[in-house]
Amino acid sequence: MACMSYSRLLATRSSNRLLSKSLQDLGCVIAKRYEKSTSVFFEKNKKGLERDLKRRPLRQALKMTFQNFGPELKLFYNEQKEAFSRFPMLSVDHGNYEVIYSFNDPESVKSWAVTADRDNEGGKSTANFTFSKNRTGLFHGYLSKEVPKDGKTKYAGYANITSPKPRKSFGRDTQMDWSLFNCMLLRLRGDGRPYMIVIGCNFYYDINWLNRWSYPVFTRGGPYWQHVKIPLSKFFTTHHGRIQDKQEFLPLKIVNSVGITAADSAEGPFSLEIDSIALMNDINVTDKHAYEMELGEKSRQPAKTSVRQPCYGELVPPPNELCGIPGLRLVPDQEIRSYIKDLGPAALKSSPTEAINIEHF
Amino acid sequence: MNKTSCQATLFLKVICKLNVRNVGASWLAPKFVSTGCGTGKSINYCQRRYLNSNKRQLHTAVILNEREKTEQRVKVPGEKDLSPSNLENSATQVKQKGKPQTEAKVIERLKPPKPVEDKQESSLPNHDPERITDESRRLERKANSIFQELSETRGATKETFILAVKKFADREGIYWRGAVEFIYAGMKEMQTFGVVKDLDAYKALIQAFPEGKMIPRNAWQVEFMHYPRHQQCGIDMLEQMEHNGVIPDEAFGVLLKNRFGREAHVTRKYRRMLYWLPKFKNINPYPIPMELPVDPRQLALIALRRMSVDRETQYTIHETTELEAEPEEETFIASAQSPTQQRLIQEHNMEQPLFVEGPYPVYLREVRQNYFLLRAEPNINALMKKKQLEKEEEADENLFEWTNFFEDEKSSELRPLLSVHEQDDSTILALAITGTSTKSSVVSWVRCLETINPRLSQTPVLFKIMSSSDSASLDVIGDNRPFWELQKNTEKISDI
Repeated sequence: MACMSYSRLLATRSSNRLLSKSLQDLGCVIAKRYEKSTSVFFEKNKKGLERDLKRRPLRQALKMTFQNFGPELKLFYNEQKEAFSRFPMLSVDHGNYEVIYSFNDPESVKSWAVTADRDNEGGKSTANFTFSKNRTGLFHGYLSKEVPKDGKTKYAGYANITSPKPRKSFGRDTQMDWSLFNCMLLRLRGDGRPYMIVIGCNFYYDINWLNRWSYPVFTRGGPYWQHVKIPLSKFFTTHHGRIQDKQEFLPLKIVNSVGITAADSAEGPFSLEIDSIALMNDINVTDKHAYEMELGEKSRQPAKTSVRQPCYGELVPPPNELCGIPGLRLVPDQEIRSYIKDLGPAALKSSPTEAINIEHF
Repeated sequence: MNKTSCQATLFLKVICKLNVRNVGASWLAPKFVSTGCGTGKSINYCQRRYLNSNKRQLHTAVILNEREKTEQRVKVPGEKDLSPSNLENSATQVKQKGKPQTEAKVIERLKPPKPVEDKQESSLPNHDPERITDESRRLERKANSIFQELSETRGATKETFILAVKKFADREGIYWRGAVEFIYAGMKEMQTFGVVKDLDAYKALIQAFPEGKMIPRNAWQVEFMHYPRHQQCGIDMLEQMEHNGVIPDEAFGVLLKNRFGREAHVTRKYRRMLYWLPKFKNINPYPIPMELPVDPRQLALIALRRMSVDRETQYTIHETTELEAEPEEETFIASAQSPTQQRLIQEHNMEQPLFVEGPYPVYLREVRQNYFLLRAEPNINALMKKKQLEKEEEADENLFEWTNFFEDEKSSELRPLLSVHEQDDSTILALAITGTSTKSSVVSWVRCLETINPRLSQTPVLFKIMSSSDSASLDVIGDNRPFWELQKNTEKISDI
């Protein structure tokens, strides 16, 4: 009995010691667990990297501060002036668009960040974003499917370009307000691969930092330019690149960045020529979000109609009235259709579909 | 073995069975080891059957004790037993007893097994290399042997794959030992059996898991991943399905629910897939057939059809053997040209050269092909005219010249000014995919075009053929600089 109690005493004492001394080891174990777990929401930085981001040395930072103080002050003055003098935009008419990114000068192309999985030691893909002789941006490189043998990576092969984050004077983060628009327009020429458009937002809490809204853009390949129009409601919520059960609205007021990712299953060189990215207001698009907000939600069922409503993303034959125009397909909104019917062919005359093909999917 | 050590092992066994904290074991373990050594018979705990399950506890115990020893030397001044002088004393005592070498040996033997480094690549996921033990490798080899044996005797087909799973289920029907290893092996083997994109094969493979045994019974089990290795295996399998574009159906879900229950992590993943994948199944506006043909001619036609915007385009396939008497190589030429493009060649100024460029890559899912194009320099005047018309429309100058019901609308008004082929960087005149993508085949393509377009034989044609298509990605098609400059100049003039 005495032996038992003594052993127990020792056990407790050593357990205390275990806790006090090898806390670091325990921490290691826990951290190891977390690395594999999917339920961790702690983020070290906005990029979602495990390591710390590099900071400028103090001396250099001070130097830059003093050097840039004059120009930044000027920027600040202009900002304030503009804020008082400009009348805010309140609404946008149907069909109006605003070009947010155009690649017709080398600086605008250079300001975009290019990443491939080779940069993070996650593969062997390479990528480059260059200014071409057509005054466009050319996103090209090589997608390699070879998985590095580090024990963690399962799939490899991605390349991405991301727009620069908007900045106010003195390097303050700011955001774009897209709330007046509901469609994204792209003019591009690809190689037949699908590419993913990724929209990032300026969130405050780390739980949201890696939320992105994405939707694929399909290229047909060949020498013809494509004009792609994607309703912003079709962008689905992803976190860490995984689609989420609980979908959220794209917060149009705090949009921060736009990116294009090439990560399809084909190994080989890829090239995507981008002319410009624009935002447009289309009154035909009335949806705020094209998917159910929560997996298995039952309340948001579509109204019963005799005609089968097309699913989102489903290919449907164009309605009869519009058959004359190749490729143009409108959302079957009864109001708009009858409106076009009443106007007759004159309404179609001014449509900009003569030399370009607009895809509405 | 003397009496004390026997008692000690018994005691240890009791402790282990009772699941007392392994710290207790840590205190006990070295004593028994040392006493056991004293008799000359070393106890190898690893080989003992009943200790096998608690092996790791022992390992940790020994390691912890070693660590404690080293740390004690540094600090802990308060305790008498563990003061450095006492430790030294005990060490000397051990020395006096003799044979400290054997002690070291035993401790060495008690270390956990090293991760197996096999030259053959394992199908087991290497997220945690320590998990791949000898035992799991043995089970994996066993699984591989089932697949190999059957594929050698019956050929690598879908039926054989399903039969292999059945064989496993028959053999291991009671304890289902090595199910995880079998499924990982099967997932890897699917490539050789050609069933990576076959739902039936996945349905068969999931049946290597036992029914009912792994269903969690309460919320805690659900959230803390009941049977984690099995569930992770299932998730990996679903991910492979997702990666290969296989959409699970209801029957697959029933199989999964019978194995893991309704709320397990695997089933949740399945539900997500069932919800999202059909939504995105048909979003491609330029659909590609699910199963691509093997024939390169058919593939070329699909790619050309996908590339051509003009709906009137005519597609032809020529064989070089038919075209020429003495062809350099036997291939095919798939060509696409529309009547509009033929008209454009007819209207083309014969003194201006035409260009044949390529090869540019084009993809049909994973299949890569190279295409060539025949193009002319952009028609700047027509483009400028169109641009000006657009500007006029924007300016709303003809605000009061409405067409009314009494006026006839001329059909020419509705006709687009420019065809789709006339872009601001180049005018595209024809597209082609050849079997070998060599210069000789492209030359015979142009010769073949000459039969349809008689004016082509009189116009100079320049060939810009890149040696490898990898460098093609560096170059864009056409050049819109002349049009750009003209536009800029006219703007300047209008500003003045």
